[in-house]
Amino acid sequence: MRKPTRKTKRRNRICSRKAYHHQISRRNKKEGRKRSRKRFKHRKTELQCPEIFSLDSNFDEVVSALAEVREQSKVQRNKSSEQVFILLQNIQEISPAGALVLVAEIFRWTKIPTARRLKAASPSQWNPEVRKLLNDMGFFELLGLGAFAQMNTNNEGIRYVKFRTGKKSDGEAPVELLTDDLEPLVGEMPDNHYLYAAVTEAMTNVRQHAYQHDRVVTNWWLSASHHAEKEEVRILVYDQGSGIPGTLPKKLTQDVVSILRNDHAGLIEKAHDLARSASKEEHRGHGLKRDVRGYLERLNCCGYYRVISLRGEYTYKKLASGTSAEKHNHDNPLKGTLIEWSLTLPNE
Amino acid sequence: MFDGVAGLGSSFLEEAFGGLVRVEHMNKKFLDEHLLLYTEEEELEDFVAMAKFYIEEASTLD
Repeated sequence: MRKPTRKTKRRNRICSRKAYHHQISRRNKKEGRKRSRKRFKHRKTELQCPEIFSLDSNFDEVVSALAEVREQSKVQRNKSSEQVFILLQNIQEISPAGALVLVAEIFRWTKIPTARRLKAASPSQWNPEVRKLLNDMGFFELLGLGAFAQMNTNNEGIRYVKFRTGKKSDGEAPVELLTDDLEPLVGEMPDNHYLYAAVTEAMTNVRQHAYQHDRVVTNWWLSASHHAEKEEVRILVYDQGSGIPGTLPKKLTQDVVSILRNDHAGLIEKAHDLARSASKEEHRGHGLKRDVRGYLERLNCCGYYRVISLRGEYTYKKLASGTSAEKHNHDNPLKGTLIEWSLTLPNE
Repeated sequence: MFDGVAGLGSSFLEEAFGGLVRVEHMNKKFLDEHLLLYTEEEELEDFVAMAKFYIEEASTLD
C-alpha cells in the first residue's frame, strides 16, 4: 500500500471534518423540526367574528372576518399543523346571506387536504338563535360534528334551508329546493318555473365564468330562508369565483372602464344591461338580465333582487309603486358573487 | 313538446334553438316548416315563445 502523501492526508482531514459537521447539522435540524412541531401542536389561532354577521348591516366587518378565514386556510395549505378555532360565540345576529357565505368558507376549508379540522370554540356559549339557524343550514355537519336534534328558540318564525352545493348546472338542486324545502314552508312558490330558470341560469354562470383561476373549490352554494312574520322568502346562490366585475370581457371593460373605473357596482349593473359573457359571442351572456333579474320583473309580488360581487352591490327593487335600482361600493371585497332574491309573498 | 319541465334557462334555449341556426345552419324558413314547438301547460307557453324568439334572433344575427 502506498504511503499517503501530505496532500492526501489534508484532503482526508477536510472530508472527515465536513462529514462530521454535516451529521451535526442534520441532527440539529431534525431536533429543531421536532421542537417546532411540538410548539405548533400547542399553539392555536383564534378567528374573531363580528357580533352582527350580516351583509346588509355590517358588510365590511363580515367580509374582513371571512378574508381572515381564507388567509388561515392558505396557511393550512402549507401543511401547518396549527389548530385554528373560529369564535362564533361573538355572533348575536346572523342573516341568511351571512350564514351562507360563512358555510361556504368553512366548506372550502374542508376541501384542503392538508388542513387540520377547523374547530368552533364553545358551541354551548353561542347565541341559541344563531346556533339553531346555523344548524338548519348544515353548519355542524360541515365541521364534522353532525347535526343537532331539533332546537327550539324564542324566534321560531325564521327558518333556514340546508345548503346545497355542486359544480355543474344541476337541475335537481333547484327542484329539490322548491319542492322539498320551500313548499312545506310556504306552499308553491309564485312563478316557480321562472324561479327554476333563474337559479339554473345563476348556476350556469358559475360554471361558465366564475372560476377562471381557482383550483381549490369551483362550487356554487344554494340555500333559502323563510321569515314567517314578514312572509318573506329569500333564495340565495353564492360562488367564490373571480366576481362579475372581474369576468367582464376585455372589450366591454375597455368601453366602460373609462367611466366606471373601480365602480364595481356600476360594472355589475352594466353586466345586466349588456351581454356580459367572457366568451365574446354575441348570442351569449343575456341570462343575468333575462332570467336572473327577469324573475323578479315577472312576479306579481314585491321584493328585491340583489347581487354582491367583489366591492360592488347592485339592488333592483320591485315595489307596489314601481321599480328602482340602487348601487353601492364597499371598502372591502366579498370574495365571489352572491345573488339573492327576496320576495314578500302575496296574501292568499 | 315542452310539457313536464320544471323550467328552462335562456342559455339552454338559446344554445338549443338559436344553435340550430348558428351551428347547424338551418334557416328560419326550414325550421318553420319542420319544427313544431308547443306545450299544453299554460305556464310554459312563455318558454315556447322564448325558443321561437331565439330562432328569430339567431336568424337576424346570422
